[in-house]
Amino acid sequence: MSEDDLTNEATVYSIYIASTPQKVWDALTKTEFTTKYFFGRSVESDWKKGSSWLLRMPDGRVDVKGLVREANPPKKLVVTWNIDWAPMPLPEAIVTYEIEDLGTGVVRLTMTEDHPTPIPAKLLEGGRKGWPMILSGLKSLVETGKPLPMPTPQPPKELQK
Amino acid sequence: MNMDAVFRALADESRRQLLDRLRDKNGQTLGELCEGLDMSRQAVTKHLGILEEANLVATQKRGREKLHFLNPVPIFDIADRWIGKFERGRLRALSDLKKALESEEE
Repeated sequence: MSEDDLTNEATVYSIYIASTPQKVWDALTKTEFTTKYFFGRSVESDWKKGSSWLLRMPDGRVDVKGLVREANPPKKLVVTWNIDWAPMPLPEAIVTYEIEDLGTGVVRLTMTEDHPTPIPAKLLEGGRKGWPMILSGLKSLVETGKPLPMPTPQPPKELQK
Repeated sequence: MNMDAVFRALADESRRQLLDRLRDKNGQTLGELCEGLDMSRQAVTKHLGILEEANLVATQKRGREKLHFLNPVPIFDIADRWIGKFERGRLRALSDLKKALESEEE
């Protein structure tokens, strides 16, 4: 696939975390946690089906916003994912978090990013680089109480003004 | 995370080849992954099982089909263990330089 091609390939990342489903749910949905692993971003929502949600950058600007499609704590969260600050329009993505209790003090968190409308392959690539850091950071935070010391990656050139 | 399982899974050319194929096109069925490969369907199934166990491949059921996705999270964890916060940028620069120089020679 060339970089300029459009794609609607899904991305599915999973990580095993020595914790409880509730703690992982809290890490996904509470600002006090997301600021420590989601590149400093805070989340805002009441996490009810149909409510809006957003991800705010450390400087207060809105990074991502969308609607809560499904909220089944502490098992499943589905949100729409819109970025409208970029110079080029980005079609809406759907992000699903599934938390499975494996019953041995371990949960598996799976993040799925679906693109019902195709997007340029290089933008998809950019998003794919961020998620492993986010998920590893979440795991460290939940397991040890300490965030990973990670640099914040820059968004792809196409998204910068 | 069991790092031994990740290294064992990666220590096989056929399994690395399967990961390459998923990198080119994510979310393939067993049938699609078998196409054009010099491996029996049984062998591919076995390799996918080992990759899944190491969490290098994540799967999803879509209707009656099982789709396979490249999951780089364990590889990120390995890199994170030995590559420091400040080395990352420099290594990226070296890697970009290598790619640029090698593509010039072609």
